[in-house]
Amino acid sequence: MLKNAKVKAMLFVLVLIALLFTTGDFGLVGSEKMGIVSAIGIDKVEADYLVTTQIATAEGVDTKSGSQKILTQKSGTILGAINSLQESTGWTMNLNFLNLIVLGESVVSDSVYNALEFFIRGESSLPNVTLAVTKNASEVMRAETVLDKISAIALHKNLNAYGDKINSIAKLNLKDYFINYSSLSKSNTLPFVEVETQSEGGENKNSFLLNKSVVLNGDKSAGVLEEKENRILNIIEDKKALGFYTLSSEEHNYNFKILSKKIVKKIDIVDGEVVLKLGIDLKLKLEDETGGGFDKNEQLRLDKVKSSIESDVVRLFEFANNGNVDIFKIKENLNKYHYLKYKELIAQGGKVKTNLVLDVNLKSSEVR
Amino acid sequence: MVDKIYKRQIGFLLILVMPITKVVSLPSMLANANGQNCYFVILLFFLMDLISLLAIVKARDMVKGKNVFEIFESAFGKVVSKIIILMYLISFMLRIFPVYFEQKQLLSETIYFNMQRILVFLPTLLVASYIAYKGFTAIGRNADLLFMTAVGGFLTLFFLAVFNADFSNILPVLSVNVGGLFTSFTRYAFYFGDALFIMFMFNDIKKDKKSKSNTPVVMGLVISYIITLVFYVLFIAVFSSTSAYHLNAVEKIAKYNEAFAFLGRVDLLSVIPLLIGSVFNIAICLGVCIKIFRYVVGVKNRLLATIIITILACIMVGIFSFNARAMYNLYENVFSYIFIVLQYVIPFLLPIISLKEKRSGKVCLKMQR
Repeated sequence: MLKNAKVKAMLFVLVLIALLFTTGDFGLVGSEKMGIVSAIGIDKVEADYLVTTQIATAEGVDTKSGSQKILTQKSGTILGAINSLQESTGWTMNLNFLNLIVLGESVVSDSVYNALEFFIRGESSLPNVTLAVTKNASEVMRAETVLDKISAIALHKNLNAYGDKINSIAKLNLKDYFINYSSLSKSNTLPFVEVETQSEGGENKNSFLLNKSVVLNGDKSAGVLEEKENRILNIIEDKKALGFYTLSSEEHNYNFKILSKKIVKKIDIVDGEVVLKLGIDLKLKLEDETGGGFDKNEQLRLDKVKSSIESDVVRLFEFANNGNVDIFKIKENLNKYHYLKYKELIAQGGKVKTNLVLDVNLKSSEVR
Repeated sequence: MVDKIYKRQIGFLLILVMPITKVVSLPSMLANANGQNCYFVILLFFLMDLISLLAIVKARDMVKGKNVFEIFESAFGKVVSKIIILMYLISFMLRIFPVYFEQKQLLSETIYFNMQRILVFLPTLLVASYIAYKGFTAIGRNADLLFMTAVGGFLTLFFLAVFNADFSNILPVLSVNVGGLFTSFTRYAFYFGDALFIMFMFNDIKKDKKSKSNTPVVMGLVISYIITLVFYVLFIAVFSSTSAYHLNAVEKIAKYNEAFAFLGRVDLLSVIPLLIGSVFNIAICLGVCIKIFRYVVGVKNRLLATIIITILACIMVGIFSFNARAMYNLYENVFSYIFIVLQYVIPFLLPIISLKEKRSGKVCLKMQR
């Protein structure tokens, strides 16, 4: 009898514990007052940040704007602006689902690091958030595109698609920005978003143009890369990037799909000078060709592409040297793989002046 | 009888309970102090814990049939030995708070985003004290069943992390700061020394049928450290110089891989075994406290001892939780040194102390003959 009572008491305690774990509000903010921030635009206005947020709410889906709202707030810090948004609306802003941060040019010319620090340092550090630069971030946040009333989700998808599959622009997330920023190379490349407005029947329709990237040296802009240079930079620096390679001339336009690649990047110190050896082996498939009839000489086609790639790389290399920006991450690689030699070079007061040795090999294939 | 445990089970238990205190907030703290070389701190602790464990099992083999209380008593006398043993009781009690805090952090950032402290600790403590009351036999049987969940959880975590890992981030290895490693060693010793409980189980360890040596116990420690080490390397490989910002390493690693997001919360496969491990970690601490308390105070009633120890643990965690940051400062700057003495210095000396006991045992045996 007593044993039974003991078992019952134990069972009761166990059920109580299970209830404690699985029920109750635990002080959670009610979902009806939770604003899920999906994108943030940041501009710098004098000493303040102008923060524009796209927020998904738990209200019923509105046919005009879905369940998304756009709110703006100004403050000296990003957290201050988000807190002000909370105070003024009475809503709690949940940043855990943030996908995209768009920085205005005003932020790039001031300090990118200062604007982004909160998102990695804050309690909900967000390594996956995609980054982009535009002329006016608030404008991009508010832009209605042909298909979308609220643009950020589509823009986020496009940035990933152009960064990954098409490979024409830079692709950068918050974690990689900070890793690159704190590395010895200090260089980052961010996609640049342009808004093109067209008038259709008295109504303005926007579309996003993605074909440029901004190069940062530290947290300041060091210049802009055009589509071709960016493709090559992605091919060299991003292990996964394949995408396309386009070649336009007066006679011919080619569009090649890159089927596979083998990039050999060797950096060494020889006789006190840094040598960057770049081996680029690409397997290409001709996807499209226009102008001047079908060019059947495959080798001629590949030679044209090869010389184009070589000149792209040399241009990139000169851009890096002239702007003193380490886009090939030479210093970081020297520090990782030639630690002692690099320390010696720095101790001797040597400036990391780099020589380029380039070797491009192309193969063509009609099938995978 | 309730505290009998097989060597195999001790090995499994170490794999189950050891990682929880090392993979939640410690990685970011070590990364902050030691940069990409933070895994060297784990290697250092591995070395110390391994030597400590080998010393403990050696001492046990030297004084078969005697427990650590008797060894201390014959070496230092009744009063001093009781003071040392009491220090161990306090240290095991103090071990509970960091485990609870890691568990709370893991829970609050992965499952319940805004949870009250007491609602985390009270159920955990009740379950852990019930397990402790049932003794190490029950803990060992659970370890037999549950250690695979811990291994599975970590394999899932490694699988999620490896696709985003850039192993060049752990370079340059030569840039290791030896001074920084020793500073971390002295600050964070309270997170380690998980095998110390074996010291209080000398007479409770049963021989396995297949293996009569101490290999299963040592292998348990080695495997759990390999898991921890791989975790640290992956953490640095994924997050590099931003590692210090990611206060909940397990959650961040698991969530960083978005490729499997369509399957739902895959990260929970690695989080839940850790949470289970934390309950058993607390249960071990309580179990040892109960053992020591019964020896020091002379309480024969196990239930009474369990209730007293549970209440004391509850009060301690309750008080510590009011200002956890200040308590962590105390742990890092004061308690940690005490932990170093208790989990490394005394165990290292244990075979030497046991030598005296071994000799006196032989003399007694000869006299009996």
